[in-house]
Amino acid sequence: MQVDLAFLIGFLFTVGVFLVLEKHLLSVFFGLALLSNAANVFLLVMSGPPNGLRSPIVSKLLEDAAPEGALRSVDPLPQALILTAIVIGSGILMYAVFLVYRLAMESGTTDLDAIHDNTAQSSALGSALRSGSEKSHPP
Amino acid sequence: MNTVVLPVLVPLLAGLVCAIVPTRTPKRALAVIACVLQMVIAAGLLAATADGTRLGLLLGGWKAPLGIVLVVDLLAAIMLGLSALMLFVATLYGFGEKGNHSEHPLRLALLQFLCVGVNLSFLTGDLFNLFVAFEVMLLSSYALLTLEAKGTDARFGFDYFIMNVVGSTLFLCLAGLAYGLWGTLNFADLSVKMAAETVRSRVVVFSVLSVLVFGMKAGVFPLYYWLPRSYPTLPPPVAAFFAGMLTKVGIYVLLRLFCTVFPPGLQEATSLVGWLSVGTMIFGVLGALSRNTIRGVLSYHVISQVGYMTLCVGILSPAAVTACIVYIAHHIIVKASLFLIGGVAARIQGTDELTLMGGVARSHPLLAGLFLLQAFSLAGLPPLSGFWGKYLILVEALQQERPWFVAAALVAGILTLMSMLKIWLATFWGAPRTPSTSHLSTPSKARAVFVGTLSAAVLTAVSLFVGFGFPVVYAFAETASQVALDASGYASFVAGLQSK
Repeated sequence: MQVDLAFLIGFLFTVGVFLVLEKHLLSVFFGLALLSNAANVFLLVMSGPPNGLRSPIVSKLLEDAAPEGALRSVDPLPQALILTAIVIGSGILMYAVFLVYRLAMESGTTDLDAIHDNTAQSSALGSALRSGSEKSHPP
Repeated sequence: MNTVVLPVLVPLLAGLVCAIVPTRTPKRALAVIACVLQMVIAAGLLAATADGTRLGLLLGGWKAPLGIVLVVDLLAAIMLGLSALMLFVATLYGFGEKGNHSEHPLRLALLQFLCVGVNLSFLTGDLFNLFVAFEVMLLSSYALLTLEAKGTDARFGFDYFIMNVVGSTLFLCLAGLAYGLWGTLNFADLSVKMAAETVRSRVVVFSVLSVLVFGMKAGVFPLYYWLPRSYPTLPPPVAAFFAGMLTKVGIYVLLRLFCTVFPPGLQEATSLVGWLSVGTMIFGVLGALSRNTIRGVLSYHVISQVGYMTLCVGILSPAAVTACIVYIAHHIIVKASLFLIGGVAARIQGTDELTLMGGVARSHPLLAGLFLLQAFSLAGLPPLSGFWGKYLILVEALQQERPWFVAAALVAGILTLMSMLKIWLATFWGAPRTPSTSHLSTPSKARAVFVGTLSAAVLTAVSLFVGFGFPVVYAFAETASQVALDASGYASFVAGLQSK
C-alpha cells in the first residue's frame, strides 16, 4: 500500500480546495492547477506499487541489459490516462489564464467579492473596456 | 465508413471549417448544411435502432475492453436526434440578425464543437472516453459563455468554470477508482465485474461518487447554483442549447450507469438520488418564482425539471426509465423553445426585465400563442407533451409507493404554472409598461423577430407532435428503456464486436 502517495494526494487536494475557496483570483487559479494535479497523482496510484518493476518503456537496449524476468513493468494504462488528463488540464488552464486576465482587467481588481458584487473601483482600463463593450452590444 | 462515428465526425469537421471561413454568409451556409446532415444521420440511426438492435464500432480496431467502443442503442439514438434538432434551431435563430446584433464569428463553430462533445458522450462505451467527451463539451461551453458576455457578465461564467473544473477533477478520480477497483474502464466489462463484486461497499461508494459528479453536471440540489448564475448571461439561442442539452448529458450518463452498468438493487444510491430530486424540484421552482428576468426564471425552471428526471432515476423501474426518456424528449424541446420565445420577446421590447416589459401579445399574437402552448406544456396540461411525462412519473411513483415524491412533484408542478403565469402577465399580457422607442420595429428588427419566431415555431410544432402523437413516442421510449436496462445484452454485444 502506497501510504506516502496517499498522504501526498490528500495534501494536494487539501491545499487545492483551500485555494479554490480564496478571495484572490490568482489563488483560485493555482488551486485549480493543484486540484487537477492531485487527480493525476491519484490515477498514478492506480497502477499499483512499483516494487522494483520497470517503467513501461519497451526498448531493445533494456531487453539486452536484463534478458529474463525483467520485462515485467508497471501497469502502463493509468499512465496513458494521466497523459491525456495532463493535456486536457493544460488546455483548461490556458483558458483560465485568459478568463482571470479578462476579469481582472474589466473590474480593475482581483478581489472576487468585489468582482461578484460589481462594486470594484474601476481602473481607467477597466472602465474603458466596459464602456467599449457596451457600445458594441446594445441591449 | 461506419455510420456510428458520423455524429462525432460531421460536427468536428463542420466546426473546423466554420472557424476558418472568414465571412458570415458562407459560415452560416456551412453551419446549416452541417446541421441538416446531422439530422439526417440521426434519423438514420433512429430508424436502424428502432427495433432494439444495437450498433457498435471499435475505434482503431482494438477489441474491448482495452479498446474504446462506441455503441448506439435506441436511447443514445433518441438523444442524438434531439441534439441534432437543437443544434439546427440554435444555429437558425441568429440568422435574422445583421451588423451589431449578429452572432460572434466563432459562435457557430463553437456550437458545432459543443455538439461533438455532446454526441460523443451519448455514443461512448468507455468511462475515460466519456471524460474526454465531457471536457470537449465543457471547454466549448466555457468559451461560449464568455465569448458574447456583455459588460462585466463574464464574472458569472467564472462560477460555472470553477464548479465544472472541480467536477472534472472528481470525474477523473471516479475513472481512476473504476480502474483501480475492477481493472477496466469499459462500460460492458464494468457491468460484468461489478455484478460479480463480493465487497458491496465498493460498488456503493463508486455509485454515490458518480451521483455526485454527474448530478452536479445535471444541476441537482444542492450543487445547482452555477446554472442560474451563468445561463441568464447567454444569448438566447446558446442558452436554449445549453438548457436543452448540457444538463441532459448528465442525466443521460446517470441513466446509462444506473441501467446498464451498475448491478440492480443499489438502494443507497437510488434513494439518495430520489431525495435529492425532491430538493431539486422544490428549490428550483422556488428560485424561478423569485427571479425578475425571463432568462432567470427559465434557468431556475431547468433545475426544477431536472429534478423530475432524476426522480425517475431514483425510482429505477422499467416504467420509470420509460417516463424519464419521455420527459427528456419533452423537456429538451419545450425548454429550448421557451428560451427562444423569451429571446424574441426581449428583442422586441429591448429588455429582459419583467418589470419593464409588457403587451407583447398585442403586437405579436403568434409569439404569445406559442408561449402559451409551451408554458402549458411545461406545467403539464393535457394533451400537451408535459402532461404525459408528468403523468407517467406520478403513476410510477405511486405504484412504487413513494407518496412524498408524488407530493413534491405535484407542488412543484403548481408552482411551475405560477412562475409561467408571472412571465405571461409581465411580458405578454396587458399594455406596454414603458413606452419607449425600442418598441418601434425597424426592418432589421422585424427580420430578426421573424427568424426567431420561425425557429421557436419549429420547436413548438415538434413538441405538439410529441404531445398529440404520444403513442408513437411512448413506443419508442418503451423500447429504449428495455434496451437500456438489458445489461447482459449490452455486455455480450460489446464482447462480440468484431473489428473490420
